[in-house]
Amino acid sequence: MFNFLISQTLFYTVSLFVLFVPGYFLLLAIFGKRRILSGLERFVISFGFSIISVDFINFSFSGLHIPITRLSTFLGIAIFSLVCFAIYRFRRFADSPDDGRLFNFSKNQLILILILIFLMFFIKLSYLTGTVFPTATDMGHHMFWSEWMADNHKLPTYDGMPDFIIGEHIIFGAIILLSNADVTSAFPVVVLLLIDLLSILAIFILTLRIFKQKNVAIMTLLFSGVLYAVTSPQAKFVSGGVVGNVMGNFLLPLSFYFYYRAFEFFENGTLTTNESRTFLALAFFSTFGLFYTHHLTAFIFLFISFLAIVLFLILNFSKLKETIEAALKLILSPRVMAVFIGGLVFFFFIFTPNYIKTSAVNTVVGAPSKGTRVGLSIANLRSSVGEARLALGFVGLLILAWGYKRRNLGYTIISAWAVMIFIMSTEPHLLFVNLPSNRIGNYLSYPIAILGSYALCFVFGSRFRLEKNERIVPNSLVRLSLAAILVFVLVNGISDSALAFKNSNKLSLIAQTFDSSQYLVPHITNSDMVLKDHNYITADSWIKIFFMRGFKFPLSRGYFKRYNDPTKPREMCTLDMIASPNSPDAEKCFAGTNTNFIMVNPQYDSAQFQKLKNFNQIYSNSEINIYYRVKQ
Amino acid sequence: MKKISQANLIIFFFVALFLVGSIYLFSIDQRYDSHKYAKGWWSLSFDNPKTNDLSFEIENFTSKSDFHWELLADNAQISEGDASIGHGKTQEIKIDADKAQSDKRMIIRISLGTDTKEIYKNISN
Repeated sequence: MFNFLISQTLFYTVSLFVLFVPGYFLLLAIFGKRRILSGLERFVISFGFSIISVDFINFSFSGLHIPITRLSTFLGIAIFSLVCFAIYRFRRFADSPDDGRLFNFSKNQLILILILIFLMFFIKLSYLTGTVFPTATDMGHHMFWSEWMADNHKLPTYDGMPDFIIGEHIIFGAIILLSNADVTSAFPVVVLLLIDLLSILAIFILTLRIFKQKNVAIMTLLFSGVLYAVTSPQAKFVSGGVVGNVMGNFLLPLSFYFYYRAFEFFENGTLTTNESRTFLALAFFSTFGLFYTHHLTAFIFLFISFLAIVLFLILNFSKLKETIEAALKLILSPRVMAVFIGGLVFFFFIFTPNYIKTSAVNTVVGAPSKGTRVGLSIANLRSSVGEARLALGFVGLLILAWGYKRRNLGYTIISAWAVMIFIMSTEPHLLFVNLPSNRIGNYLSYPIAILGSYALCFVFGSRFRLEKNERIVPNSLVRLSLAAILVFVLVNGISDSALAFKNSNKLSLIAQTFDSSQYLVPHITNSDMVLKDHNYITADSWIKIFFMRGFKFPLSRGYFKRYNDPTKPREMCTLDMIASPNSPDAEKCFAGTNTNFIMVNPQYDSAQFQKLKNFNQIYSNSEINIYYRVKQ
Repeated sequence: MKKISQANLIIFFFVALFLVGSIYLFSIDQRYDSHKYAKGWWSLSFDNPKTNDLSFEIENFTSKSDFHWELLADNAQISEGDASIGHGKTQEIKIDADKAQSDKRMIIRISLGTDTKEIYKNISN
C-alpha cells in the first residue's frame, strides 16, 4: 500500500511537470495573467503547449547531441519553465477588456457542465476498466518506442518505418525517465485518457468562442464527450493505443482555436493587431506540434485548411483585397514569421519526422489502391459517427449555411472541417486520397458534434433556456419534439457505446503470454532469434518489451491476408517458418534469419513441429508453446 | 473566504475525477499478474532449453495442486513422480543427466487432473 502511494504520488507529480507546467509558463510568458484567455482556456491550452514544448526541448537535445536522461529531461523542462517565468516577470502586460462574460455560466448551466463531465468520465472509465490491461497491438508498439527512448537516451529513428511519428512517444518517454513508470501498467492508458478528455474540452472552448452561445458549447460536451464516448476515436482509441490519433484529436481543435482567434478581428474588432499576431504565431506553433505528432491528422488539417481559406475568400469576395491585406499584415509580422521559420528549421534540419524522410506522402496521394480506401457509404458513415449525430450534424450544417456569418472564420472552419472530411471519407478519389476510409470517417465525429449541438440549440433555443432566472418554457409541442429528439440521440449514443463493452476475460491469456516471454529472456543470447505469431497469441506485440532488442525482435508472423496483399508484397519467411517448418523455403529462412525459438499457440500451430526431430518443445502452457530448433 | 470561480470549480472537478478514475485504473492494472484474477492456467518448461538437461519446472496458477509427472523415452516410461504445488507456486524437478537416452525423444509429461501437458527434447548423439 505504501509503495502504491509513493508510486502514484511520483507519477502524478511527474505528469504535472511534463504535461502541464511548461505549457502553463509559456502561456504566462506570452499573455501574463491577462483576461484574453479564461481560466478554463488556460487550463486546456497548457496541456497542449506542454506536449509541444516538451517535444521541441527534446528535438533541441537531439540537435545538440545531448543525451536524453532523467537529469537532462528534468533540467530541460525546468529551465524552459523558469525562462518563461522570468519573461513573465520582466514583461509588462497591457490590460485586456474583460472577456469573462463568455465563460460566466448560469447556475443551471454550470450544474449541467459538471454533470456532463462526470458522465464523460464515468462512461469512459467503465469501458477502460475492462480494457486497461496491456493487450492492444498499437499500444505495445508505441510503448516499445517510448521505452526505447528512455533506455537509449536518444530519440528513436524507427528503423526507417514511416508509421511512427516522434511526437507520439516523447511525453511517454519523458514520464518513464522521470518516474520509472511501467509501460505495462495503466500509465499509458491514463495519459491517453487525459488527452482524450482534454480534446473534448478543446472542442468546448472552440465552440464557445466561435458561436458565443454557451448552450451550444455545453451541448458539445454531450455530443462529443458523453454520447459515443467509447466508440472510435474515443475510449476505444485510448485503450487501443492509437496514440497519434488521440493526440491529434486534441491538437487539431486547439490549432483551429488559435487560427480563429487570430482572425477574429474580421468579425469584431475586439483584439489588437498585436494580439491577433500572437494568436497566429501560436496557431503555427500548434500546427507544427500537430505535424510532429500524427501524420494522418496533419494531412487532414491541410485539406481542411485549404477548403476553409478558399471558402472564406469566396464568401468575402466583395472585400477580397482588404481581407488579403489584413491577413498578410498578420502573417508577415516578425513574431509570426519567427515561429513559422523556426518551425520549418526544426522540421527540415533539426529533427525531420520519418514520414517526410521516407516520402510516405507519395503513398497516400493517388487513386485508392485497396477496397478499404474507395470511400464509405452513408450507411458506413452512420455506423461510424452515429445515426443521431450524423442527422443532427447535417441539419446543423444547413442551419449554419442559412444563417452564415461571412466574417466569422470560425463558421468557415467548422463547415470546412465537416465538409472536407465527409468528402475525403466518402469520395476520396475526388481528392486523390489513398487512405483507409474508415479512419478518415472517424474524424467526422467532432465537427458533426459541434454542428449537431448548434442545430439542437438553434431549433429549440428560443424556447429552451437555461440561463439564470429564466425557467424552461417551451410550449408543449416544442417540449415534446425536444424530448423525442433527445431520447433518440441519447439512446443512439449510449447504445453505440454499450455495444463496444465486451465481457472478455483476457487476464489469464495476458499472464501466459508474459510468462512465456519472461521464461525466454534469460535463455537467449545475441545470436538467437525468436519468431512469434501475431494471429493467435494475445498481447503478442508486448513481447518485444521484455526483450528490448529492437522493434523487429521477435520476428512476427503477421495477419495471413497481408501475405496475399498484391499492393504490398512482403517477405514470406515469417509465414513459412511456422506454417511449414521443414520445407526447403523454410530451411533457407531459418538459416538466413538465424531463427531458433518459435512461440505459437498450440491450438493452431503445434502439429507441424511435433512431427519433426529438430524441434524441441521446451515450454508449454494453455496458450503458448515454445519450440527450440536444434542445429543439425 | 474567497468564492471559487466557475472556471476553477470546473477545473477542480475535472482534476478530481481524473485522479479518482486513474487511481482506480492503477489499482486494477496488475490483475493479469495476480493469482486471484489471472488463474486457471499452469506452465511447464525446461530449465535449460538448449542443452540435453531434462530438469524441468512447473508453475501453477490453478486451484488444484496435485501434479503427476512422467519421464518417457519415445513413449516408454522411465520414471515418474508426484509433486504438490500450491496456487501461485513454482517447483523445479531435477532429472539426472544419465536418464537422457541418445536418439530418443525424451518426454516430460505432466498431468493435473484431466489436463495433460508435455515438453520434450530430441536427444542426438
